[in-house]
Amino acid sequence: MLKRVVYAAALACATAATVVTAAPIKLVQDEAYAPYMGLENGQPTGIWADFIDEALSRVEGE
Amino acid sequence: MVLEAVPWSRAVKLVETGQAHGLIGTYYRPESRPWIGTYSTSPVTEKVSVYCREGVAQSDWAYPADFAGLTFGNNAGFGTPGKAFFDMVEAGTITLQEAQTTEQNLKKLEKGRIDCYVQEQLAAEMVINGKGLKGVVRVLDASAETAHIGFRADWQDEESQKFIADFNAALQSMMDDGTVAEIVSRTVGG
Repeated sequence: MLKRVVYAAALACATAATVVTAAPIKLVQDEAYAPYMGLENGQPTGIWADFIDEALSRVEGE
Repeated sequence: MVLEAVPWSRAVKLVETGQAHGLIGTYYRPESRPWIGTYSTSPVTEKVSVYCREGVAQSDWAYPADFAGLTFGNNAGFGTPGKAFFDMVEAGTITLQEAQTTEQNLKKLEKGRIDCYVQEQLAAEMVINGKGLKGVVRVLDASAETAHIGFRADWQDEESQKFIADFNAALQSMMDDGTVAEIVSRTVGG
């Protein structure tokens, strides 16, 4: 029983650590500054969103 | 990576308070935004331009002094035309008519209800091209500022340094091979 508790606690710590480490990089933009930044159907839009999509595809493609 | 679109004031606050890593589209503001530590490569320069009815103004005029006596439009509540402009409005040497949107102002300009209008260049040209407005000309650029992604000053670990370096390299390659220009052209039209 004690082993399980210790394991569970260790697992919880490990999970928490993983979540912190794996937290995604978050970038934020204006929702109403056309044509640079916008929001349509809940999704970021505009020139900057297109820049970022393309830049990320190049980073991932390296 | 997560990209979110929120009201600008909230976007600023999210980065300032450590709830997001980067503020997209910020100008270089080291004094008013000291919590930004690194600015990305700038893929775009925002230009504030003066648009007038054809024949009303000359490209070699000084802005705003030489535009005295004219009637300008403006987006209600926005300070885009700059302090010197509003000083002239206050002094009564420029007449101001405000409307809610860029489209409303540009349509007033086309119809001759105002003489000139000051707006960020791409914002104006997207409407001019999209609506096929005639007789509206860009007379001169009043100011220009580079726009960046501003990364939080306290995001300084190994992950951040690699991400920013890789991201900047990707942006630079997009500028070099014409992708940035293509995206802008596709969005703005014309």
